[in-house]
Amino acid sequence: MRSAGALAFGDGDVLFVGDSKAGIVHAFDFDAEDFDNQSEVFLGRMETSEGWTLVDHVDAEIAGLLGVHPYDVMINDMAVHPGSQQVFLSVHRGVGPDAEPVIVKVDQGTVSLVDLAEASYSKTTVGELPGSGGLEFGQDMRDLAITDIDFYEGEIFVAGVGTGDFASNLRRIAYPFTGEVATSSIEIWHAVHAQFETRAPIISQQIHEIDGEPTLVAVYACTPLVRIPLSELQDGAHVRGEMIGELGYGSTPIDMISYNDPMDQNDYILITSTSRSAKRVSLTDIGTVDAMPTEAPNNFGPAGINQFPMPTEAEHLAMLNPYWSVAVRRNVQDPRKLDLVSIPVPFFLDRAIHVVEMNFEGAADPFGFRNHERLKR
Amino acid sequence: MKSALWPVLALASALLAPVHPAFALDGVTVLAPKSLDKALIVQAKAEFPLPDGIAVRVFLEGVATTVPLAGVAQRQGARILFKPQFPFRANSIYRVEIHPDCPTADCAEGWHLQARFAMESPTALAAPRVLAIYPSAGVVPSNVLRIHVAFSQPMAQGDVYRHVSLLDNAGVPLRDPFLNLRRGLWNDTQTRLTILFDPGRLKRGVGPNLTVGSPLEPGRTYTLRVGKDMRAADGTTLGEDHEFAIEVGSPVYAQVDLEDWTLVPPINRTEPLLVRTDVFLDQVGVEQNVRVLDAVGNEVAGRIETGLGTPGWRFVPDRDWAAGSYRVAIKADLEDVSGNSFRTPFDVAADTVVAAVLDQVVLSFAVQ
Repeated sequence: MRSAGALAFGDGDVLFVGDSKAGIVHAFDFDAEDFDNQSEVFLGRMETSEGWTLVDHVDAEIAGLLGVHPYDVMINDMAVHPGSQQVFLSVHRGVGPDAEPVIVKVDQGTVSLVDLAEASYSKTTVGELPGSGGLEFGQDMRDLAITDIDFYEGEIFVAGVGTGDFASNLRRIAYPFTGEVATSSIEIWHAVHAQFETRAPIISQQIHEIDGEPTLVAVYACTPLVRIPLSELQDGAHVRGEMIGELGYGSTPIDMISYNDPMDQNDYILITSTSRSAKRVSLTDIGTVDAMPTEAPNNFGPAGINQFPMPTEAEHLAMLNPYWSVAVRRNVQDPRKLDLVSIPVPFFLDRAIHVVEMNFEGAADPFGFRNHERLKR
Repeated sequence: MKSALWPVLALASALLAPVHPAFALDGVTVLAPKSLDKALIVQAKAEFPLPDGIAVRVFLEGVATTVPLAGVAQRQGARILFKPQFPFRANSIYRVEIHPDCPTADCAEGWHLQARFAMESPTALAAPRVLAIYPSAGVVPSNVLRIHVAFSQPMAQGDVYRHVSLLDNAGVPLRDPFLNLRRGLWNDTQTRLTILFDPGRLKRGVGPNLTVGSPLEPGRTYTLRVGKDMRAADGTTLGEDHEFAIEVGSPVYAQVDLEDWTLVPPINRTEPLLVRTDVFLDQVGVEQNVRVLDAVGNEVAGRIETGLGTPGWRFVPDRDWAAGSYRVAIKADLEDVSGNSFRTPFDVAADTVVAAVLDQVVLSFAVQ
């Protein structure tokens, strides 16, 4: 491994690791016993909208494990093993050009190194790679070779930048790997820029069956939301994705997760981004909404599909189980530090980090939070 | 802070610090690793055998962590060798803890602080320096797109915008002049940082340009400050602020045009090739897009410099020119400091049709 970026679990116990530097997706097929069941870990209390700190100062904990200062720890991505609810992090030890990639797991609040040698290993290239250098603004394109990985029905879908004028690629790769990579290039209408775009990569994506049709839902930088039926993603195809929403200019998406809201039984996706609030979008809307007009004047957004702003702050966000999400989040008291925390679904609100009227003794209790015994913190 | 003693200590690769005997286990000695990639050794003094269940763990000091270093502790007779998963780091202090009876090594209590040791650097680490910024001299157009900062050694990623600021002539930092990227734009070796002004503020008629406007005003002078706390990859910091004055002139909106270039061939075999242009060109763009070729098409080795004080560039060959004819191949992607290329202006209205140009243009010259 030369770098460890995007993480995804496949069916069962396979961990996929995106290695942008090498242009490779590594697959580590573990045994079920290699995972530590976390279902007994205390996550907080949904009724009072209280999340819980699962690892206090997770960056310092990882730094201790790796023998470096927390400044020299880069947490690149997070994935949750579905069977055990165990959290896995892709991490770089060091921030120099020779940073070392490692995978770290969390067991009952303690971080440790994943022994990748335990797993049976296979890998696939992702096809043609960008050279180093080359973006208009000087960013190393190679860092964008793999931006996200999703597993769906025996295949991984790997987004990122390839080569040429149609550089924004989606590679469809069967697992177990056969050496075959089906690459589609994607063109989208970008409303903020008022033009068709073919190079900017998908930053985060998910695949959902919408009205019986498996559909890729993807978000790009600065920040079009796009839907593409999987059936269009054939090798060599040049696909035009339908832009169904603009989340608002001047922001970069971070993660996309999906969940069912137990209050209204609707399925939603939630997209976090760097400089705007998280946005909730209904899967039904994604299937039914009209595409935004193309060849139209600039639209800086938010526009298109109905978007509900959500209070989710997270450097990385993933679903832990149907009722809880997990986030790598800046510590509210001391933003130099990162914590691993649980956040309850469906409001993605952790009351514990906010100071509000109802926290004061004797203040009104409009939501009946005090009917519950105070949690020992 | 390094004390004056450090050069002396540097002779030793590691240094043990005494621990108050009340905390340490009797009869156990810690031998610090001989070098960064060697094992730490815990051994019994002659008259004491090591207890069977003895466990060793090592912490990096100065980090608020509950997690010991990843590594393997191996019993070898009267000794335990602790080999960390990753090499020890120079200029770091470690803490060794011993448990007399914890075969699983994960006991919550009962650990004794046995020793502290410092891993020294065989040579004192040199503080990094800012070697130059580009554009480096003269008057910069108010719509300048990029500034490159060259460092003397590989720097640390992350947090760069906390350390790089642009001050007005009253010394007040400008608010959000740069594109706020999650990762800094570094070259492969992390010795050159590219800072981008927010293109949305530069492009006329785009949202941020309409709401907050262009960050730089013609006729004013600004200061680019690279702060003293910016870190190199090895953890050393700049140690002092590096400041560079930036004088700002009128914006440049035109695409780069070869008609405005003047080639001055070397007057003899040792002089550089000089090309005068009407606008300042992007240093990195020139390095990537300009090649000097000899008569048979072989690339001439040398360096290209844009820091002439006036717009243009010069090519200094590594070896003296041979007499003969030469060509300069220039890719159309070459940009000036405002992001205008041979192909298109950077700031172009949405419905403008830009004429296609050749992918490469060629200039010729001869050396007598």
